[in-house]
Amino acid sequence: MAKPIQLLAKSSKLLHSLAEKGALPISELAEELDMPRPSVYRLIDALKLVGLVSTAENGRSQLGVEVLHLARAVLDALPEARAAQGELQRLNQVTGQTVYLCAPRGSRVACLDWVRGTRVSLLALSPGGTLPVNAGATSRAVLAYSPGLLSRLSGAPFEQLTPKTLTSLESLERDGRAIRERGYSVSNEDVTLGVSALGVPVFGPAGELSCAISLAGLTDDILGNESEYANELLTSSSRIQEALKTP
Amino acid sequence: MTENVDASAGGMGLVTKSAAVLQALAASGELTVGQLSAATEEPVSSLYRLLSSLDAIGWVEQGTKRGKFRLGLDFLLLGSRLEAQLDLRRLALPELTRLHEASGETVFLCIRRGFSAVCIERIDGRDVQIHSLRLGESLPLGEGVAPRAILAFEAPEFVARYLRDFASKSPISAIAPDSAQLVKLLAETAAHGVAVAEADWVDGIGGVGAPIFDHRGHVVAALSISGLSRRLFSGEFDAVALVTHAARAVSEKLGSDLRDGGVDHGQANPVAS
Repeated sequence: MAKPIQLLAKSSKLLHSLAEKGALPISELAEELDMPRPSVYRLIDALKLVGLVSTAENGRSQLGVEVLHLARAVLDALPEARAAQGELQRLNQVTGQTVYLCAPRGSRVACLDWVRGTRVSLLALSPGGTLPVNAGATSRAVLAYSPGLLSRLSGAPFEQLTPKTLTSLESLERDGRAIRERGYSVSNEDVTLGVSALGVPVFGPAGELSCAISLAGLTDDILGNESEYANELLTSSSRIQEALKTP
Repeated sequence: MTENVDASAGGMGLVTKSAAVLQALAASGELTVGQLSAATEEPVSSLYRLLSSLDAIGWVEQGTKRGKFRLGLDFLLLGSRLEAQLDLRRLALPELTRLHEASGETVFLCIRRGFSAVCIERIDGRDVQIHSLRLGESLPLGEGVAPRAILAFEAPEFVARYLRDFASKSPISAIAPDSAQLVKLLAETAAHGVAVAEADWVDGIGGVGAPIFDHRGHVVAALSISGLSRRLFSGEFDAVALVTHAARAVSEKLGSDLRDGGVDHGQANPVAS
């Protein structure tokens, strides 16, 4: 039967099934997890006991609200998320676009928080999700200001998300130089066709890269307001940096 | 924690232990293995193995300092998916129905859009003369009990902006002819956690509205009841208690933690309190 790691891996898989598909009956979970039903019952009981799973009105299992409390606690524990929250709201109010806060995690860049704009259904990235470092405005801002990261990752091929995604070492090096000159990154449909974004880096108290923020939306809306949006992002970035100095 | 546990008591104990670790991290932010051991009463040696498993599935990650752990980003993903699944209208409908059945009056569910509150659900009661706030219709936030229940719990900057940009046109509403009057009403609403109008708009019609909070403690909606004042406040039923209870029940379904008491009044704005 399941070793500890396997049982936790099954728990994680179960929560992800419920996250992707909503409330599910035991029979379907047993199939998804490839576990006998009695074991699924016991696992669900244990997860219900700690609030990670709850019972829906029709007897199916669904994610428990404890997940929401933990999600909030994740952000509370991240200094950059606390420091950025007010600025993310401000950027959304000023521009109406979707605002992202992302930070490097391993060889990728993860979305920590967002404030949604009106056309959110187009966007590929949401909290907890990740993008490769070569695609997206925050990714390429992170890459441009993380010395050595590009050469460290260049051993494996870069992911191609759209025909416009930069995947060669040379093009990414050139992009990095352009970003450092301008002070912000431009993601022109390199994650999703029709969607563009502008991103700026945020540095920690010791001058190291901490995270990046971006404004994302329809290409015409974003690139049509490039200089105005870039200025707003840079203003927010320096305010977040100030807030990071005084924890 | 043994290597080979079946999925019975011992195996499920692992879920409980993991949850204890998550709870400790949620309460404290970042902790060392030693601190986690003290918080969960698990030996350090078994915690190391547990933490490496939890790290592998994204439930914890390394903190800013070496040797410290914090909650993992996987909960951001799970949380945002659950949030999208929690459809406010669907969650509130059983409570609205109960409120309607207990009172026989018209009940409303409103959400904020800009400086207005939009009715997204309505169950008609015995007073057919209540024409305002049909499904999809909106009222300014200063008017009516449901809109006011929302406004009273918005951030102070937002309330100030409403008063400046919107409510500067007089009269603000039938019951609050000027902004000083509205500020006073908002203060009452924030203090009591509920908006009460014994004869609010027209023809002796009154109402009671209460705010609904999400898991962040932000006000996201309000539900309300309206009817002839003489019946609503006749003592036949306790309208304030019914509405407050219904709003709390919906907030809890949205993951709002009303137990810590930091929601109802913690979010009340200084302008109004």
